[in-house]
Amino acid sequence: MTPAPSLRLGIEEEYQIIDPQTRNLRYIVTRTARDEQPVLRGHDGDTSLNAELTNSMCELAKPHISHVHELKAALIEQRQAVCALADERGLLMAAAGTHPFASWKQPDMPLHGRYEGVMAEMRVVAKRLLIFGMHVHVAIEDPAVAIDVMNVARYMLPHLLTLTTSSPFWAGRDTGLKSYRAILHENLPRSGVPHFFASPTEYRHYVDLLLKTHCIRSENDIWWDVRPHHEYSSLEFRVFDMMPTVDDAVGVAAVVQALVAWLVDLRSHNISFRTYPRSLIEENKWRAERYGLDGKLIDFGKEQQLAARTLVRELLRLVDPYVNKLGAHREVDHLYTVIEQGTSADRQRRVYQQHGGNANREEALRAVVDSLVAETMICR
Amino acid sequence: MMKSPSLTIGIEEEYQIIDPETRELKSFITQFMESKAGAMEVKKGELKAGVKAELHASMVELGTPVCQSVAELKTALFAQRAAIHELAAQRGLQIAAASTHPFSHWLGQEISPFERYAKTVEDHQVIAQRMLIFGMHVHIGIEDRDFAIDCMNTVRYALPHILALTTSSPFWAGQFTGMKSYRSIIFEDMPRTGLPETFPSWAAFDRFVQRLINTGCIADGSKIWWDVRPHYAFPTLEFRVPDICTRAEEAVAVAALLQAVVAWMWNLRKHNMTFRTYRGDLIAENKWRALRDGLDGRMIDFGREEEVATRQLVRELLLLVDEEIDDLGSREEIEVIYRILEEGTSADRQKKVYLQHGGDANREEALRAVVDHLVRETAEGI
Repeated sequence: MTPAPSLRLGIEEEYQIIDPQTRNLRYIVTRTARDEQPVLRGHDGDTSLNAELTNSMCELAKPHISHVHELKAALIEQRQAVCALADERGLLMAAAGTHPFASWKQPDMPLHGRYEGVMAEMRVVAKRLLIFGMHVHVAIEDPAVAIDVMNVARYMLPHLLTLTTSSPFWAGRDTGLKSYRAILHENLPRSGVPHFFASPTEYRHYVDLLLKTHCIRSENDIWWDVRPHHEYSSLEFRVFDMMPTVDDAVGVAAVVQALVAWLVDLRSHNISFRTYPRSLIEENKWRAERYGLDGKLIDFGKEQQLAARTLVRELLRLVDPYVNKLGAHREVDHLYTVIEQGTSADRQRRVYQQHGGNANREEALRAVVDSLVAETMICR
Repeated sequence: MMKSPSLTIGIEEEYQIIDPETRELKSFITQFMESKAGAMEVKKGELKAGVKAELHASMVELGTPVCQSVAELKTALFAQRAAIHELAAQRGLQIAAASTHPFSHWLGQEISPFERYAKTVEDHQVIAQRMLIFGMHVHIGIEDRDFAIDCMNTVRYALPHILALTTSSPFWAGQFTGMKSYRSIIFEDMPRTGLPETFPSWAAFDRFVQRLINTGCIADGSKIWWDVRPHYAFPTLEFRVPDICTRAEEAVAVAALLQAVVAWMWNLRKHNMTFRTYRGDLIAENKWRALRDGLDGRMIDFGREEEVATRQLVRELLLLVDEEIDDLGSREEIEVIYRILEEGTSADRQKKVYLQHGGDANREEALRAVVDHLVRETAEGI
């Protein structure tokens, strides 16, 4: 019998550093694809960052934390460090899936570090990727279990996305979507909902073939919404928009951990959540991107559409025993508030409208940035 | 026994309506449709269905009749292009066949004034507004529905090869994208696009469509926009992966190749064989390479598990279907593909024209020169 997975948690976030005068985007704090080192990216390739921050961001990504309350403390610490970094330079910090009006076409826009090095291969697609995501790692030591959980957990990706949407604006316009970041990200090859893998062997063969034929330089060039992470022996959930508040982010991380615990437990009882075709899951993902919590998602078991809020509540109920076991009740309970009151995307739209909306576009967009900064920098 | 496919052939094309002064896209579809000529036959027999609207009012869609042979298709497509050329010329407008306009911006484009398009925009918001892209769809007649599904599963492998032969959208909103088919990137922002998954049978496919209808994802099968699909109304397999070819004879050649590939799949099946079915995420690697590098790149031969020059892989595909080309009598039309392999696609020619006119340093003029070039090439031979 294989030992139960440790379910240790890690988290990665990407931050926006904002110019207080213009409210435009100046830097991105992210990790680079090649060596996974956190960097501060400006348009001039500025990668200076104090060593302390570098190390702590690396540490926090590695799944080594058992309890979400520890994760929360560590995440607050990390955000405080980034805040301090911004402060020192007279800049501000924001956390959201997109910047409301920064244009990737402006020559002084930073390039996204994560996709650095593939610029030449991805051209305009990579340039457009001024997007910010959160990744949650859950350690699953046995690769057979990891692949199994990945196949099944695909079903819940849209539900999880609805809880995190924060990118309704893009290049100064209301896109009409809740997560435009998700659309932009899917312009990358090897993105979106992964295909089904029958075994770790099949997955290994897939990766080896892609390496051998120079489709990828390393496994890091696979950017699915959920993927096995080879170095961390974890399953990495990447479907989320960045969230302004720590409580939102930690709540989602806690649900992901409980979800994995549930699926592993089912497996040990010879039961599996059903595996649905990717094309069906993608219908729900589209709805999540477009309507977030306000829409309907499809319950493919019942074959009917239900309010996204109902289905997300149902998911929380299903994982509730594991939330209990993992001692994450306080963190997860916060999500019921999100379900009731909406996500950052909803709040951003509200601020935009309150400040005159399209009729007063530039000012309204700046007000949205201010609201994001205020929500994010509360961690200070 | 399964009935042999008829392999009838037809092409639908979506054209750009161009203002010759500004070279911008011109919203004019309503006027086209209201005109007597546009609504019905332009010249006797040459335009059966008349012009159709698309999402944006600067797009005009036309389809050939169902043709029994490639020779017949060629006549029909040239007549169709002549007809739309004439219709536009009568109003002082021009027609271009390319999958993106070199510089007209999607913002501020008029949406065709029909309820179904208002609904598309409401459902898809900014994604729909950005769909200022122009496609070519090739229909091949397959009457047995299980064979249509079988063929769809295996033929997915050849879709990147087909795309590489047709690329015509290197520019977007006045910018050189570095891609040969930027249309392919834009289009995949819509749901239900890209490579389809495999289905074990027609019944399974039908069940899938019913499921989407039952759960309110789609009103009917017409809202499935994969790179290849069994058509929801006609007994055809519809190939939607190509960019629209600027030269009509290239469109005919690609349609002829698709016909031969389907014939080949049928012949394999008769001999208890099949082209292998590969994972969608593997085929997607080749599609990415095709849309980025077109014929100039390398794609993966998944049988050999190695990278091979795309030109060579296309030549191999032509050899594989060589007998079918003879059976179908389409050799003359297909020869054009060898010229594409040597001289490149519309995307390559557009880039050449752009650079000849000064490229980025002389952007606006160079982009207008690209439009003029497209208009000229679209009318070639009609």
